[in-house]
Amino acid sequence: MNELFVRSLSRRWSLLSGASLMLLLLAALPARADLSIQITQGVTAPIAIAVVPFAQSQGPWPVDAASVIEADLARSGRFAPLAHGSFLQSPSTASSIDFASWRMVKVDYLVIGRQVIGTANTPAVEFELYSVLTGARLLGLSLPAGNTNVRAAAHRAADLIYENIIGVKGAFATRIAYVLVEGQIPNRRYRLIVADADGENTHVVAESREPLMSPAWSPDGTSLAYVSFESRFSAIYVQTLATGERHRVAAREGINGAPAWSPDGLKLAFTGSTRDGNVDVYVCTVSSGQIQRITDDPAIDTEPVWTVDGRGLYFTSDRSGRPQIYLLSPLVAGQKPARVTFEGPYNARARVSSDGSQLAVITQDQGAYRLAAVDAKSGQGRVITRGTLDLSPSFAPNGQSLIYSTRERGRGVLATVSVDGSISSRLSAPEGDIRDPAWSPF
Amino acid sequence: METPRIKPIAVTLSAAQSRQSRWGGAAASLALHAVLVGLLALGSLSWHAKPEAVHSVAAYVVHANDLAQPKAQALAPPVADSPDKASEPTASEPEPVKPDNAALEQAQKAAQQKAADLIKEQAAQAQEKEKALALQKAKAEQALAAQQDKAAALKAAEKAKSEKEAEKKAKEKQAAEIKAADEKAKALKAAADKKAAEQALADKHRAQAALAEKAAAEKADLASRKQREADLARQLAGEEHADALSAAQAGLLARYKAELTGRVQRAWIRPPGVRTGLKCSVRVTQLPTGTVTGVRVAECNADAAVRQSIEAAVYRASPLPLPSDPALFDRNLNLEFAPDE
Repeated sequence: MNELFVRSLSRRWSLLSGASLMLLLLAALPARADLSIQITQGVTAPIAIAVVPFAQSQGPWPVDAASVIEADLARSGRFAPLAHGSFLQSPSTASSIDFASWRMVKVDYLVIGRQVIGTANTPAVEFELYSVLTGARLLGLSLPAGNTNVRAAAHRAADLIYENIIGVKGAFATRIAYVLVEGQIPNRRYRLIVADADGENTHVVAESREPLMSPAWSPDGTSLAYVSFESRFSAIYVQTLATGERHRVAAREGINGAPAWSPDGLKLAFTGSTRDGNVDVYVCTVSSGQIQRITDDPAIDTEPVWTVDGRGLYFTSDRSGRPQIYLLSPLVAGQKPARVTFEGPYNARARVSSDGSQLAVITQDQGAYRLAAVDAKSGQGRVITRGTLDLSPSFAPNGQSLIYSTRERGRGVLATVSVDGSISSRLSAPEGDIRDPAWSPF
Repeated sequence: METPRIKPIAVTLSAAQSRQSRWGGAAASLALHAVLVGLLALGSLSWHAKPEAVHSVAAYVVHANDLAQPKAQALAPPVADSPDKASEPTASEPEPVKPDNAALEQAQKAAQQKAADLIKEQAAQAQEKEKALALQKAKAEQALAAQQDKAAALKAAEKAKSEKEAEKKAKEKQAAEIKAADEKAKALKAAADKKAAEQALADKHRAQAALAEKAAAEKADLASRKQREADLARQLAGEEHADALSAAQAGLLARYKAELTGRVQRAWIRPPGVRTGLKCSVRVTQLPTGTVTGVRVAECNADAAVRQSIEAAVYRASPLPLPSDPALFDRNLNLEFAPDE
């Protein structure tokens, strides 16, 4: 605002222009490029933001969109929302914003909004993002929100705020699938759960007294493949979420496990075994149920995952004596795969980032099982978690973080960590033991 | 076994993102004014030294020469009239005097006499003849002399005439010369006058030009002084010119820059989207208090979010640290964001 004033003032001067002003300008020009400073570093610190509770017309509403947005941003680790107690004002419209007061409490960004009932009686979440530093309005949107969809609209708003400030697509409006194990044998129950990425809004997708394992999202996000022992033997099922319709795609004798969708969604790679117990990687065409054996090695070949281009498979093999990650590309049965990981005695269960540049693996580190991010080309990795039993990494679709399971007070809980290991968080979860999280695509 | 279901989640984006862009108009207007004003100034500076003035002086000089040219011709001797052709004096030959044929008788009688007479006469005649001859001779001599005298006189007259004519000629010549000289002098004087006038004019022009030049020089001097001052300021800012500073100032400057760098780096929250090879130039203006008043990301190969992070970093760093030596302060800062990976 101040700048604007100064600029318009100087324009007026130039219109009145005289020789003196011209001389001033001429003299001022050479002096413009002045003190030069090189900035070669930055910090990885959370950005100060304030999310003001939204005004609720015809409220109160069951869900406060602002608190959902605030929690999303905080959980990402990239933002540090200001505690409401420090607010000097709580504006809900642009005209009532006093930027100076927000500068005073040292926030860089401000989110305000309104939950409104629009014309045609449709509820909507309106939000605006401002730069407190410049006073610029960075975003201003109205998101339709059914009564049960305020949460979804809020996640969408958080995505847009995240993307505007961080420069990467947000992944708050995505979902996670996981297996929740409750009760003790013989009353143990396995539930396959789908929830919002923040762990809220849970839905039970499948439930069984026998183990449910390894859920995998189809690339279009409409279906889950998973392993069920409901028939006492392992079998791979594909279930469409919207309808609940499901069918069994692999139920060969022996092991049928660890399904992984090909990027085109037409095939599933999985772990299979022969009658003599040799475990290898197989590929099944979902529509026809046709199965092809890919690896043939006396060692265990398991946990396949597709390369981003769909032309290769990473998998875990102990053919060198200890589990390591191998890559078979191009995907030709019987070809010799290339070993990818070399650091440490144990690297298993690879997952590939959305751009294919990184693998997340479980590695042995100081006697614990932890997650490592491995450069797909060089095989160089670094440990990014600090737990004792960190398992089942799954990349967020924006590639910024991973969800995984870890142990907390003797039970499995969900946690997220940024790919560089700098930011981690725990997802609150209901009672029970949580396993095998899988992050949905966008 | 029940079939669990979940509802599809549909989120629709209903409004478009809008951003404001300002400054463009104001900046362009300022730039245009500066350019116009600059052109005007340059024009007025060069006017006094316009080559047309020099041309006009040269033209006057050429004209003066043209005027002098006829005078130079007048200096050549006038064409003389053809001199009178004096007839050459011709000397006449003296005629011989013949003796008288008297009677023979008398001659006899007188033969003796005659003879005597003759002898006498002959003698006389001879005498006479001699006399005559002498006379003749004398006469001839006289005539000759006269003739000679006459010739001499003629000659003398001729001579005198020619001398007179020569004298006249000389006089005329002299007069002509005097006249010519006079005219030449007049012409010269005129030329000189003209030249002087021209000189005066030229001098006047020159003086004017000199005055203008001086004014321009003063103006230029002022500008160059300002330039020098600006240069000095830049030198103060530039590391490469640190040696131009006193060691103490150089130390203070280095510390100032380090403090600025540190402050901004601590304030820059690097977004994950920062790629290697990022290079962004940022123009920052600050108040003497260090308060940042403007941040403009100039050249930058990063996306909008990274630019925003840079802009935010500079504002977040406000107020910027101040140098211990106020002379080192600069309202305008150039920040180069180039992370070394």
